[in-house]
Amino acid sequence: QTPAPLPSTSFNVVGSIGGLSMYTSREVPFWTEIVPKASGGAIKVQVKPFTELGFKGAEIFRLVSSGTLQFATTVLNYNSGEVPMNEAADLVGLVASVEELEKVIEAIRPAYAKFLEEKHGIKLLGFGTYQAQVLYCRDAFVTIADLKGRKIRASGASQQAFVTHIGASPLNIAFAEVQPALASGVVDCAITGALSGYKSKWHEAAKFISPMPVNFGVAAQLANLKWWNSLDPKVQAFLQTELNKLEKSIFEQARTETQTGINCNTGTGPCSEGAPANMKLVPVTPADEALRKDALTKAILPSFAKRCGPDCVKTWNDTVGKTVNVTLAP
Amino acid sequence: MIGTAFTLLVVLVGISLPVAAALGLMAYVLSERYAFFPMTGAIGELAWNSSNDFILIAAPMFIMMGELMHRSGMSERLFSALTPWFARIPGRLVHTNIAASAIFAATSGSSVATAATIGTVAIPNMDKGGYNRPLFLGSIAAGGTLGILIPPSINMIIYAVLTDTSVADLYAAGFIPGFLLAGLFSLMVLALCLFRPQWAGPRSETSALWRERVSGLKNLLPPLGLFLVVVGSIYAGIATPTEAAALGLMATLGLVAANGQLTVPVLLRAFEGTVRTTCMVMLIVIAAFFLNFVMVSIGLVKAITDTVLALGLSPLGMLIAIVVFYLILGCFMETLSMMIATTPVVVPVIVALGYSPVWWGIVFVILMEAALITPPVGLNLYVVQAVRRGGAFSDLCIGALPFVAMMIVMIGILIAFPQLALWLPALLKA
Amino acid sequence: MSESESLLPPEPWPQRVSRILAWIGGAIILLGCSGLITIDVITRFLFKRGMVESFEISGYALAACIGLGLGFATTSKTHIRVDILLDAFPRPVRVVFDLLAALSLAVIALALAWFCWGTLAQSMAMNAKSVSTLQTPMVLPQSIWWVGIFWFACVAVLLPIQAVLRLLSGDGPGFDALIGSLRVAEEMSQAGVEQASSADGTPR
Ligand code: NA
Ligand code: NA
Repeated sequence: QTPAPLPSTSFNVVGSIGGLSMYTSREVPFWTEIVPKASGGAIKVQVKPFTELGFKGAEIFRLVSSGTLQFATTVLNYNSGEVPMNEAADLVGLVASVEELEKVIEAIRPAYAKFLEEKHGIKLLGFGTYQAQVLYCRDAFVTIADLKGRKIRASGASQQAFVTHIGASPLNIAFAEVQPALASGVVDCAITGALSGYKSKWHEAAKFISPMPVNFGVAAQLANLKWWNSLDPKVQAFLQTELNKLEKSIFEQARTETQTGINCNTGTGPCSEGAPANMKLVPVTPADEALRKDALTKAILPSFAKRCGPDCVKTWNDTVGKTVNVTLAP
Repeated sequence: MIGTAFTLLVVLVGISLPVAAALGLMAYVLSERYAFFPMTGAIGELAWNSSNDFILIAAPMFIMMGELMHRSGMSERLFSALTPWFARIPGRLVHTNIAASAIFAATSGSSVATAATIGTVAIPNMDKGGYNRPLFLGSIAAGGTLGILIPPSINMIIYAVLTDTSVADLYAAGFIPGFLLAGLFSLMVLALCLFRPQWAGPRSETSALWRERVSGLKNLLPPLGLFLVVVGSIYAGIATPTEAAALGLMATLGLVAANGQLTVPVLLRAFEGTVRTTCMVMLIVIAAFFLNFVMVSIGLVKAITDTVLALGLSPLGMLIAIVVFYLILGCFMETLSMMIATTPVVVPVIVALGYSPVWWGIVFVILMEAALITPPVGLNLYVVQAVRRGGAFSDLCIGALPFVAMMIVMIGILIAFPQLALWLPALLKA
Repeated sequence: MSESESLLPPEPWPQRVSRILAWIGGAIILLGCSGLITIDVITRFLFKRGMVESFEISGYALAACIGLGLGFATTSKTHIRVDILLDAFPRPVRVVFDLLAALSLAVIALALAWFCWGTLAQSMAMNAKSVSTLQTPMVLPQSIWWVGIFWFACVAVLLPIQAVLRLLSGDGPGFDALIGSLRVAEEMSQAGVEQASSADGTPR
């Protein structure tokens, strides 16, 4: 590969959550090694995770839109309150695996990119995702339906609607307080990433885990549109090509990490992240799958349609809906 | 750049600008001189974030609890009940401050809240007894820092999240060092008072000391009840530490009302005191968050950390270098942002050196305690000064010094005997 | 002296407004944080279900209290100044430092009000909502918070002006009472000077 004669460019990138592998093992090497090397030293990037900068998450999208940040990775759900479209590919109960998620994202990409450019002045340059968000519980259960009546920590309206739909009580407490809350019984169950729950030592308090993905935590690589348009077209093309590769490697990582997380929590397979814990794996049953779809069509989608509006519902039906064979009534 | 930054801060604080203004101006200057994108655009978002941060919610509730206890006279009765117990120990109420802080620390996850609560209750007694002001105030500021070492601890929770360690392990590990440090504080006070008897406080001449002690016990019951509400609800699995603060405040309100002392003036004065302290602290926290944002963005924190890590020392030498680094950095940085900005870089190094991340968590929390009481930027010093309403700030700076020394001693003890931290977590796991 | 007079000490009206806003802020902490959380904890204990989304609302309550209380923290001179060097200087120099301190706080307050307005305006423009079940329009909590910060900016700008006016009219103790270091105020109150100066409660 001959290095393209790119004009020298430097900019700042705000990365995803600092402690998690999407940032440490994908974004950091990408921006500090791969991009400078592949551009022959023409492109210089400073990257910092948003957590280290003292951000909470929801402001990243706004700061990219307003132009304070040039380029950032953000979890799209953080802004699903005011931008319901951000949730379109990551609705609770929508997909059962990372593979399905990739298909859904492929389907919605062009429409979503157009939406971001027109409505928010943001250039969409790629997606990413965390591992599957799964259920950790203190006490035994065989099917998801057994969780009826339990107190489950869930974040965001959609996860809470899911919890309510299965007959359990949704609670909202800060992520940091979940582990001690599981230990003392303030909550019975909680939802988080298959691997991040292991790393946060949830297995010391919760003894049962279901691998069924509740949702994922889809992220996106976003650039301020004005800033992006000011870049040299050669730089734009170069970055877009490289970012496509980054996206692929992030999805690959999400796939392995979901499995690694389950392995590490339960000790049922190789765990590369430390000593395996001995949570009991509660296998996904056909009844669970049916319950997930039921929750999606009866609880999640109707409220999504209401928040999202008719235009957005049409877009969703034409893209995501077609992929998963569900049609939303506007 | 590092030199410019710290010189600037020392000058701004030194000419007695309000600390929040000094931090904010310094952030602005750094941002203008060294940054290459307009970071001022993030001020609004950062201010909103820190204004409604869950980490900070417990503090004003505990502060109001202290205010209500103070305005209703409950705290005065508490202190008069405690006084005869310490009447023969040189240092007297200073020991009470430390003991009360250690006990309150078991209910509160925040050092600021602990210092504000104990300070509100204790400071009115300072001049009555004719104590050495720096020592008395120092014991409150330093005793308050126990709030983050003795579980529950919000800083430990954040550390656990940042470093993938277990909160339960950290809580168990903090228990023994926490009370040991309180003991060291008391020993130091005793030693100082034996050396300078004029600091020791008034010696009780009564012969009926035991009768006084026993008759005062009933005044200890209400605070004890509140303590049980807060701690009990956490360990019984009814509430998180933040929620427990809310229960504690409601219980205090109920208790004051039951005594018939809940009047409009009592309530409004308590509101004033709470809002004053909370807002003073929060303006500094907002400014500190912006400063942190700028320092991380322009790579200042990384430059400092890299300098220390590049020293190429032996594991113990490296550990000592890192401890010294935090003692110095802690003079200038607010603790939460210091933790968020440095932990991701430093903890992997500590682990690579062969130290346990749980053990380091305890050492680190003690370093943050020191940061809370070292001038010029020491949140606990400010809180005690704010509660005190007047007097020289230098009293606090001087008074905190011997307590900082004890914290360094404690870190030395932990380096020599890591089991003091690691024994209890291992025991609870078995 | 009636009860309301003892609650509201004689003071210029900006100081009085700041005090009343602080009362509201305190009440918000008591009811909006502590009260709501207590309800949630109790209903969760009894019925395994929270009732009032206190986790989310208590955050807004804290923000409201901080906004509304900043003005009072300023008029009551609670913003900490490290006065170690201050004592070494003669009075004219101290007056300069006091003014510098008040002006720097005014600059900070104005900047805060300006940039926080940007955040509020963007929330309005985007019709920003929280991600929770409540779907709280962010404009609601943010405007209470911002109104407080705006008042903080007004007070912080007004204080040095009031102080300079007092200085020009030869009212040195009045100047100290407004923006002098708390230590000086304490010495004055011991000397009985404060009573004299605080008697001029004329609104300016
Ligand atoms: Na504590
Ligand atoms: Na400090």
